[in-house]
Amino acid sequence: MPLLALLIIPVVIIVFVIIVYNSLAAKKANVQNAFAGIDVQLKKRCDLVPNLVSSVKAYMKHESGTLEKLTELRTRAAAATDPAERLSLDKELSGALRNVMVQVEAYPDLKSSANVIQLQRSLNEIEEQISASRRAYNSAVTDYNLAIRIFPNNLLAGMFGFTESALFEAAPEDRANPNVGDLFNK
Amino acid sequence: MKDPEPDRSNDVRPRFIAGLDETLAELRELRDATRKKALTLSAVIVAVTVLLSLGALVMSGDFLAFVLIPGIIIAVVVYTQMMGGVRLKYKKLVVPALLKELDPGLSYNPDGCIPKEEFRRSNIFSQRADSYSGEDLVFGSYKGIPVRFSELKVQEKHSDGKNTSYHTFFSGVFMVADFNKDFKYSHWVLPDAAEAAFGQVVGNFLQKLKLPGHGHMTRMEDPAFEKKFVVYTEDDVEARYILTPKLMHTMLKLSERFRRGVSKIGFAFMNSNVYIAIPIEGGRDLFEMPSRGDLGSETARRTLEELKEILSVFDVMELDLRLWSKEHPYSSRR
Repeated sequence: MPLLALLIIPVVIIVFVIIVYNSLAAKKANVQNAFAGIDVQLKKRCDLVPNLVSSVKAYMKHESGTLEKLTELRTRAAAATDPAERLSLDKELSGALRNVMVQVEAYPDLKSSANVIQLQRSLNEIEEQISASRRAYNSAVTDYNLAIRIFPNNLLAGMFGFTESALFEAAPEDRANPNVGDLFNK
Repeated sequence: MKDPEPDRSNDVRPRFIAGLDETLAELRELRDATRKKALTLSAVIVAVTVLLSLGALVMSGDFLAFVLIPGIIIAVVVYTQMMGGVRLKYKKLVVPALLKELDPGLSYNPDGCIPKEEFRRSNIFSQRADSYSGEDLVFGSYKGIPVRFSELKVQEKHSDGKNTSYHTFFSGVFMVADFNKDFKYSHWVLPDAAEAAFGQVVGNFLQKLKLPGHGHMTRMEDPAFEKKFVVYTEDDVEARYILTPKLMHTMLKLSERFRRGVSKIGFAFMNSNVYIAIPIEGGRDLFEMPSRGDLGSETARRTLEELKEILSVFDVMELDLRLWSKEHPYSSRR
């Protein structure tokens, strides 16, 4: 009987370790997937920039500096390979885009042009998608971090090198969340 | 001191309802005359059956109860049928006129309802729709958005071998509308019965047990929302694309407004539409004419309020707000 117990206990432990490891690995994969999801949307936003610049530059001669900055940020963001650098450039790009859309308000012809309205729609769409993928990412991270923290997973997480992931913190300017509806109605 | 701004929000309504006065007066006359006729006829039927029963008692010493009971039933049916005709007339004359005032794009069919197949497909309820009935179908475009809603009463059959009974699991208004964003997958926002009954830990565990055909459970970041609802989805990112913090807040408000005992509001998002099941207090009938007493502008105003209350759900959900890539259905560009 003790011999049987000696055999069973390690088997139970091994099965338990496998289950915990797989569950943590799956949750980590979810986090990575969710991050890739954000990246896809950020790329889409980058792709929108040249279109926007070409549509508005004829009108916005006085703001050529703003547009140049936008183009430059776009090129740098598209080329960036380091995720942290990319995210920070995207944050800047987001602010610059918002800035341009606010400046568009000063040009009634431009504001009512079908092309700009269409671009505004696409931009709103992408912003909404980015926000959704960030929230999905945060949800995956919360799930994963919680799984790492709870006992007895925390013992194994350290052993297998599972470390907590960072949540997306909204930038103060993102939190301000301007009412996009106003851009149409003004 | 400057006078406060006059409230113009009700200006059009009373004037409009005043235009309905003649119709309402005619309806009242018709209703009262019909009621008198129906009551007399019913009374005659009951009197005849009572006399028959008494006659039987005197003649043969047998009280013919089996004549009396069907007699009373027939009298009730006759009364209901006759009054039903006037009730329908009220709906046909008054409701379309009120709807036109709210939005000329809306039409009304007093006998129509949302098809059973569509109710079933929305998958808001897991019970079987064994008995399905409805009325008061409103359909068309509201603020340019395709919408439909009707009253529904849906029951599931319970049978223990000997007795069969029907349990009503939904009685209220079922609404379908074109959602303001395009999406591919299906998502459900259902009342959180498990968490409300068993607390967060056990409730959470129960929620995770998959509901058939509901994708998987996902948690939103708004704790107040999570307390009231449970979200099932086929795609996590798309669920958050639809359920923005603002919409979640609106849905919470709606759930408070339409709370009715254990029945709570439920939502499904699929095929680019939103489906909303709203339980109505006491399962009461909507757009009904009172069977006695006053029938005038106050009645029409009450019906108007009921219509506005339902349509306001589309307003607060801002379904006509088309800021994203999905355009307004009735205009190429707005």
